[in-house]
Amino acid sequence: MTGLIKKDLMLVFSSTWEKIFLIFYIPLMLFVIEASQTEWLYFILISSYSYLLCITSFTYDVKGNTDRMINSLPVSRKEVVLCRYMELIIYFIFSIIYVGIYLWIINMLGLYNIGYFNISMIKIAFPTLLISTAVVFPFYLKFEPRIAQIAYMAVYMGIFLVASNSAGGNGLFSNLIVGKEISTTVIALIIWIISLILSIKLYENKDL
Amino acid sequence: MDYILEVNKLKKNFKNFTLNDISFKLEYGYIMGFIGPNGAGKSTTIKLIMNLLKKDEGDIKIFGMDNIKDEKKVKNRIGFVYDENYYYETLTINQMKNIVSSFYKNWDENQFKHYLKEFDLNPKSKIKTLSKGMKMKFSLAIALSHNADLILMDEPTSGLDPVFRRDILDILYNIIQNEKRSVFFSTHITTDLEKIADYITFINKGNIVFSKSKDEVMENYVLIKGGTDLLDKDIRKEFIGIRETSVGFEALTNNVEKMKQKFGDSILVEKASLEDIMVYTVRR
Repeated sequence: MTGLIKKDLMLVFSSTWEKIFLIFYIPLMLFVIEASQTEWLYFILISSYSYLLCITSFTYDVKGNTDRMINSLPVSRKEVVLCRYMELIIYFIFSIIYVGIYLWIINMLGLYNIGYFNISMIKIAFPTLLISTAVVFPFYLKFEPRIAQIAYMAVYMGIFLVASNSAGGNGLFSNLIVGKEISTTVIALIIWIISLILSIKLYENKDL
Repeated sequence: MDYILEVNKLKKNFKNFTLNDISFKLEYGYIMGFIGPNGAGKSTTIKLIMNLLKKDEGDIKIFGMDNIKDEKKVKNRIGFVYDENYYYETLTINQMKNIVSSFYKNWDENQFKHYLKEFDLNPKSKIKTLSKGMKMKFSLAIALSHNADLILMDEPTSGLDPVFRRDILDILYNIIQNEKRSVFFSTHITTDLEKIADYITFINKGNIVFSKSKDEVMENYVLIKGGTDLLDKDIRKEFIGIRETSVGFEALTNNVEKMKQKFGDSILVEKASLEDIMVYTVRR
């Protein structure tokens, strides 16, 4: 398992595109989104980083057929899938720390006034990410990369749009989830576990 | 007898292709060549052995263990080389090595460095900058650096120059000097196998044509040459394959005695190469 996680982290952080994304995504979002409620901007940033990093390592193997090489190593398919799901937590923690430091620097420089750590948004982002990845991962394991990419983009646009609306002052999404974080997280975890079991079954029976 | 690799009645159905009752066995300390034309089922069989494809029926045992139930144990002792590069193109040789080595219990760093030097590979080079031959060399260096007992190779010599092909064959020959190790490799460059293989398994259209020792194969199959006046409809049927020209015919048979009885001195009998055996059988 540690070998798989090490591989994905190395892949994600060795890519030039990922480096560009990590550096420029925050200023781009701050520039593009006019936020009346900046905490939702924070939500967009930690959710986007976690989600996109998570999917990036996945697409490497699906697109390049490198999963044939990975599955020729002493590792079981169950471990490969489990690792994908567990990495969400790693990327989520990384995103909180990275975004926190980045926003703290921006605040210190006086460029933008935005909170660099917001526990209530973290409580909302976590179940959102659990559900998002629970929907998208099985697509990558069952269908062609092209179809999986569509699912991935659709889910990302979904997260982005509702959160952008909330950041702009629309309370639809916040009314749905705020104050119900614990029950939402429990439901999200159940969906995530069902998705994990489904993905393991799909991957164990897949021809590579 | 203990076998390092046993494939028994293996079946796999695709839409347009079926791998049918594939069976063969490889003993410890030998090299088996797996030959057949493109699309015969060589890569499919290797993928089934590595559990990259799901079999429909049959058994595969490696080191006496089931290739699925004991997958991790088995794969820890297999060195694999595939016909295409499946490594991450954006990483350097060293980064890729760091990833792969963490999966193997018996990774030998000195051995890997030795092969990098021998194959003239720069550890800082990105995989995407390597030529096909260099990528194959890198795959081989990885496969040979974790003390694998079974080396499984799918077309390892295709696209390589003759000098490096000969080097690979020497390396493989040295590997099996340790009697606990074996090599199984598919190729359509049959001259490579004539140099080093102990056993030949021939597959065509998803069926095993034969799986025998190389000596047995080379003794059994011969080329018959003669004038076309010797041929008639029934005789043609007795050959495995035949090529006719305006001056005569050349045909493959595995029953030389019968042919000698039938034609006497009016035919010429020559040793058949593996290529002859493959070509005439496929054209049948």
